[in-house]
Amino acid sequence: MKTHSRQVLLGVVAGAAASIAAIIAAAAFGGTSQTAVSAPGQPDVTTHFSVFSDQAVPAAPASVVAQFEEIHPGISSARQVRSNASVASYDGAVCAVFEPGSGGCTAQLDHGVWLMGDMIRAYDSEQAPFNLNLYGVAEDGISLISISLADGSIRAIPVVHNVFWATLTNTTFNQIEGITVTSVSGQVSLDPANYFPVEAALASP
Amino acid sequence: MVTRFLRRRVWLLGAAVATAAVIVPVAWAATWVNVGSADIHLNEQPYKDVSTDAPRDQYQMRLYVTTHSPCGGNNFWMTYLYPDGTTYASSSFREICTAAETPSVWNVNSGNKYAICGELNNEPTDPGSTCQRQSTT
Repeated sequence: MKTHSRQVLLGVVAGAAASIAAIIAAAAFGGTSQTAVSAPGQPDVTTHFSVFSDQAVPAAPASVVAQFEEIHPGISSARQVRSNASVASYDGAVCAVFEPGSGGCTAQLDHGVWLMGDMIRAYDSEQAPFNLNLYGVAEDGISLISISLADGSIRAIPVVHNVFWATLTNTTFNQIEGITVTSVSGQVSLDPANYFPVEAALASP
Repeated sequence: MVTRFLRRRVWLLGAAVATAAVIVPVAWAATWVNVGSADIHLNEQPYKDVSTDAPRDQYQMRLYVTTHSPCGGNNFWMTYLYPDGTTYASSSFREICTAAETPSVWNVNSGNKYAICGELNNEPTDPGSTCQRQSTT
């Protein structure tokens, strides 16, 4: 009986070790290899984001740092600006993780703004109305992102610590008619067509 | 001789196999899997996309695009569709071009939906793309 127990124990250890080794190998070789080396000459946009040097903004929690690390190993300066929004830097690019929402990095800002958004049913039904989450990051000096809707209303989204986020209930991408960025140097418009798909044009399975 | 060897270690082998049988499916469920083919060229036609072959449960997606130049702007999106083809959720367009920009992650839960990555047709080059989903099913 003692021999059986020892064999079972050894078997569990061996099985766990083999499984872990296989999983690590799968992770190492099963992922896509399309990430390439950084293109030289990319602008360092992070110098325009004071959030990275603002000691009042806490470091991102370990779970968020892990998400950044999964996107790009070596992402640094991860800061949690909101409970659902964190920013970081990577090789001169600004990175962000929004939950729910998008995660990634870019050095290509549109008039100082990296605008993202999602249109999601308010609840899980084909008959449910859509809610819009609009969010992103903006350079220092940008204070407001204003969304003009088809009904004539305007939703002003403040930028705090270089991050903005808003939920527009009962709204679709199609209803966005204008985007205005307000900064210390004035106002500039972004083209909604560059950001938001027309629902009818989206794919069918 | 082999039979005797195995018989003597049947408990060890059984425990090893049972442990692996428990660990591997749990770990596999949390890995990323491709949606459609890897390295697909979405730029071949307007609004070309790649989709799961059936509705699936996923809690996030990501899209890799081969680094290319020049960039084509906000040209990619991800979406979840109900089995009848109506939209459950859709992302805004995003640029995926430079090494920093790939992958682009979409942290949105789907429930049982088709998972789709798509591209507009204004990318100046025709880079390969790999759409992936992370799921428990």
